[in-house]
Amino acid sequence: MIVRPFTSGEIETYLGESIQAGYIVHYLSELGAKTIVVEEKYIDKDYLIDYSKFYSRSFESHPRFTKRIHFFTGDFTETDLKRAFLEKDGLKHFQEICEKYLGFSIVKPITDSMGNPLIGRTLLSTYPPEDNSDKRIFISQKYPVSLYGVPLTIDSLPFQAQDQGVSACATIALWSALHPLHSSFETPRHSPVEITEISSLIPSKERNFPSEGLNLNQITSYIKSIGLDIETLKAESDVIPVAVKAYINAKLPILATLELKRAGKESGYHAAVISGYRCNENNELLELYVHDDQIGPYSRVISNNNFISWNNEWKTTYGQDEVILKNLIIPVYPKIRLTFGRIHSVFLRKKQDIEKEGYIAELFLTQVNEYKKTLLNLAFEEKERILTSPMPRFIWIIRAHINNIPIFDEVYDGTSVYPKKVQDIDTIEYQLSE
Amino acid sequence: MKTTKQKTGIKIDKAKVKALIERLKKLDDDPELKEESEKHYRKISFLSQDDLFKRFTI
Repeated sequence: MIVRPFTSGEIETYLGESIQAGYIVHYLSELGAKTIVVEEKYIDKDYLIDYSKFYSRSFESHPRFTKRIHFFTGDFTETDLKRAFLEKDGLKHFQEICEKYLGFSIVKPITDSMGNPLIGRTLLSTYPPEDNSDKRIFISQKYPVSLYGVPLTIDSLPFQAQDQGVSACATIALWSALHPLHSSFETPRHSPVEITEISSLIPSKERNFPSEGLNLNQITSYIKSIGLDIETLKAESDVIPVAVKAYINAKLPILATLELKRAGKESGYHAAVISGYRCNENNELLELYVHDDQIGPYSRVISNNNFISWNNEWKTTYGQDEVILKNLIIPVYPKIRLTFGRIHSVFLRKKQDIEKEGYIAELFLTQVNEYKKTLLNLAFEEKERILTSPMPRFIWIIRAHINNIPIFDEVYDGTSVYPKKVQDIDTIEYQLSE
Repeated sequence: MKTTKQKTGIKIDKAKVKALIERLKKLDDDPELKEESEKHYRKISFLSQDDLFKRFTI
């Protein structure tokens, strides 16, 4: 058992000096990390599969074990932790000294071209959900963690850095984005090497391994191969904010394809995952949070043109001149048949009328159980009839609200091909206090 | 309990809300909007061949 104070020097010892390691230090400092606990021999399933399919057949000898670094907000030493473990009521003492658990990073026993260890599966706590009147919405789910028998939980979306042996950016973006859909839609969870392997069944002239990246055709084929369908959207200024909020609220991660431009050089293409957003009380989009295998988890993106061009580490750290969002790819359950493209134009038309009356219009996708749970706490006309009426599993809602107080919802059947109201529900009119 | 006006600074006129709901309902049957919806869908959702074969390598 190794316990160290959380300092950039200590972190470098384990995570190395890569840009991702630097990002993780900075990110965790903002979240108040004070102490790290290092598990020196940890078996990580994703790495083990990559190892068995790729590294085990290299001439060079690569270890099978990884290191796992845990981050805590409590300020404690190795002696404190050992004492807590030896106490009769060890779990309680452990919780007292460790305070908040901020998650962990796996360090793989392989290095990048610069000799830095590759950062494997990393689950880190999100930024707080509220900041004054702004709110943050993230794609995350609860993962159980066991540290020497101590049960911990982390609410996050997995991140890892790319490993060019088996995975470039698109593979890692798929790996991150599809991870939480396993519990929602029972889709398989593949390791990076498996994702590259399955995607590469669509032939291309480039090498599969070491990975030369994937094209959009291969990305979409992989998504379909695991039983999902896709929604593809061109990144236009009136599309991005509405689509980001609609799908992130529906807990569906968004793959973002990016063009990276630098003067005098040919453009490069990159893929990342939009894993959250921040908005103000009028629901205006202020920041995106992105899982980018070359930066880190929940990395901030700001923009002054509805997120068509991004300001983030690609400009400040990597020296790109422009980062242009090209397309949004959303893996969806096949029963979500009413596409964003079809409901969006209805939304844009209705938004004009809603805004004329001084209200704010919002479009979102939800599932019947989530929606009815929210409705239970609200007052609206014909509540009993509406709550007891059958609804489709997936629903698109056009909501008129003011300061997030709903005025009415138009309820569209998400399982229909064309925009069509849910039979017998149509509109839910909320009762407002006079 | 605060009223909606106290929370938002806006008095919600129920009659106006009902009229708005009715106007929006009529739009659902508007053939022009239906046609526009299909055009918009094709415009923003259909990727080009060039897009499909761009390789993400970075």
